[in-house]
Amino acid sequence: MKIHSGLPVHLFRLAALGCGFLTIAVFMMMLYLGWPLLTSGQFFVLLSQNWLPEQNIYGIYPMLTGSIAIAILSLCLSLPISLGTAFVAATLAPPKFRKLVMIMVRFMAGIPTVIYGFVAVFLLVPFMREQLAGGSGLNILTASLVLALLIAPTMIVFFVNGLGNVDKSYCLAVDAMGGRPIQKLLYLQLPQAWPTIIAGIIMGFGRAMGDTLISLMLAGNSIAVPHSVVDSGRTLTAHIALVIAADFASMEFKSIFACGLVLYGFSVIVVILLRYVTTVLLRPQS
Amino acid sequence: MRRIIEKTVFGVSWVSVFLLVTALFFMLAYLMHRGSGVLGKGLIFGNVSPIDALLLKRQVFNGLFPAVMGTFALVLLAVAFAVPVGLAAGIYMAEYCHGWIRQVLTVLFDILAGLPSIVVGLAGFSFTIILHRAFPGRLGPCLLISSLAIGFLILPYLIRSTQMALESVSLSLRLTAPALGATRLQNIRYVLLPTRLPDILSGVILAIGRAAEDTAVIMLTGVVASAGLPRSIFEQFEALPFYIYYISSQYTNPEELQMGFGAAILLLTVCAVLFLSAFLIEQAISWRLRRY
Amino acid sequence: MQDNTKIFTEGVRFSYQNKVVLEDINLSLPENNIIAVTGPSGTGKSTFLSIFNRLWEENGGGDCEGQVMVRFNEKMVNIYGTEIPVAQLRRLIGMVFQAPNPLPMTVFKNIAFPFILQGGMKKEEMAEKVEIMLRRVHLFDEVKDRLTSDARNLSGGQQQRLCIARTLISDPEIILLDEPTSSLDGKACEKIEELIRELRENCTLLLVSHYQDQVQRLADQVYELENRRLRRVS
Repeated sequence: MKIHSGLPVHLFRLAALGCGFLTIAVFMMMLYLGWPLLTSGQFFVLLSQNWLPEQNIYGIYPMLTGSIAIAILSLCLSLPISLGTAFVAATLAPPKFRKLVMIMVRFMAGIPTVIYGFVAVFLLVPFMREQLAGGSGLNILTASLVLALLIAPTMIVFFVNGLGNVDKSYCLAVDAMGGRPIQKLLYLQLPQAWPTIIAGIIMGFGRAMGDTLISLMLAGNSIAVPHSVVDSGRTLTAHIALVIAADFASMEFKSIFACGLVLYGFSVIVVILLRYVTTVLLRPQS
Repeated sequence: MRRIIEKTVFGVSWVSVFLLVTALFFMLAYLMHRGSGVLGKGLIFGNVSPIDALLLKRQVFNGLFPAVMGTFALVLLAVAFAVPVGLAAGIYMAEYCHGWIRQVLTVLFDILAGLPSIVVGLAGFSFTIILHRAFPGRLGPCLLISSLAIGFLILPYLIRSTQMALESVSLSLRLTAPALGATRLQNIRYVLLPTRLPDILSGVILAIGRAAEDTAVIMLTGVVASAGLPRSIFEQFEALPFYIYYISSQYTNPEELQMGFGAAILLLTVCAVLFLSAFLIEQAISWRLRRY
Repeated sequence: MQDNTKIFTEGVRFSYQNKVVLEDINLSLPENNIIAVTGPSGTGKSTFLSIFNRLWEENGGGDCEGQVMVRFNEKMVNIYGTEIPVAQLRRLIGMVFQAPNPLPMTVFKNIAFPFILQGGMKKEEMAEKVEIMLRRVHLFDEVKDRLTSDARNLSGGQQQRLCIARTLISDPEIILLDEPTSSLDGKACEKIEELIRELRENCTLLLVSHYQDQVQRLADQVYELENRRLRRVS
């Protein structure tokens, strides 16, 4: 291949490599600023310790549990609804209605997160407080319910793409045999599309782990390890937002970089998993 | 048995859609119900006349004007930073990048796209701290840092939409101009970009939506609850999404809460308009594809 | 090598992703002839054509060995050498594709596109040449009122003639035709064939086609592509 030259091409290359470099730089900056904490307390010990500032222990174990609990719960709440909606939007409904459902789903994806949180504070939280859980109404369940709504569009879009990508000729064959849409869906599309479904679930989980505002506004932010779904909890993301105002030099402040590094590592894992699912699992079929 | 499973899945699916529609409906209806009372020019400009406010003759104390302008400035700056870089990187990825560099960059951009926005905010914040250490001065969290961080946040969307748009050009169209003696750059300039401009544009619009709604990033990089109009890019600023977040926990009287609902409707409207324009552009594309 | 040899190849071997597609291609083709290449589909006929305008380089994954010489200005030139830049080469060796591929712009701009690429030509001069080319492909009367409308609105046959005009405007000495009529109906096909016959006056044409009757009607020499090699048939 001939070498491409010229100023524009150099600029294009510079932009792409620069973006790639910045992605690594983000990790490096957090590592650099969180270094004192990492060397003094050792990173992995930190992950398993509680948050006891008076004993000079700044473990992020409670936030880790909080994040995972909220993400898993919201995923469990969201998955059936997302799958069901995807079924309707991909196959079950008449074409016109399918399009309508997809427009709604994509519109939901465009609604600012803060608005979901804001409405929930005044609509769901009082309901939770007075009817269901008691207390302040700010707990893991409240956050998970709203988060479930928030991650649904991401998953639905993935699912619908996966189900829709099944070869048209297979679909026609099933139609020609007199199969009803639900049968086509269950016995043809779903078995064919499951890697994409898995990818969508990973994607949804990633979004749930990475969300800040919903848990910050609705989960209560208590620093203790949560024991039930109606306990208040704090996520890694919310922890960063809450501690940022503290004193620059304190160890407490440095713990946010540990949170940042964990979240960064988590995103990397999500990307690797997605690549595995979409390349390795999808290949033999096509 | 199979019949029962089929019936159940069918039923549950439709119930899911119903639930989703209901949730969306309740959310929007509740917002409208609580917030419609404050809609009007008073919401943005308070008791100052719009002309005076826009010409900066008088300051607005009891309206959303500073937050609106803050968000506007933020989005404008972020887009100004990110769009040229994102388009250039997208073009590079689609047209020039091969081999292992492409693999590495693809993974990096995927990671970037998946980073929680609070981590991007934290990166912006870390950058400020490092700058502060290197040049002990007055540069703290400010509009500039925020817009850089937001720009960074929307970069992967811009790169990906540009890359995908260019890669979706059919092989025959892609080879046409080179067969006539066009260089690769001319091919991009005269054929590939113009053909795919609507896709790229709708990618940019969706990125603007992301920039306007994000709260976590600016929370860490310079937004505050009251700063007045942004006077320079080195100062702190107000923004609509942060205002909404702030009001939800810190409101002191019913009037402030009302303003919060007004702000939520306003932000939702902005995002809906952006969504609608991206949607219309896409419809235009598919309409054109049907035609040819 | 004779004086009227336009294209000369020796030991050309083409592989795609380390798989040999063409080998042992030795040709000596006279100018102002129509040379047809036939063979079953998927055997690399299009690849064969792309060797001469180096278009395969745009895709990546290919590799071409051996010598490919073309006579320009009474001198044999190695087209893979440094004597001739790729852009200039592709103007001297034009190509017409299987499916009409008008660019997404107006009829006028489509035909003037090679000039736009080179730059520095006045609009009036462009208009003049565009009109000459349109007349040459017998398209002028059909599109003279639609020069500023999108070229993709033309019929398939019109589009293909437009593409030929666009190729002709840079005064090519060789034209590569990759199944130029296979996506057209009978009537449009006839017009294109007539045009190809006229072009022989000024150009050397390499025609890939799997229509035996078309090859019979048009070609001066016929080669068949079989087992990665070219065999002279007539």
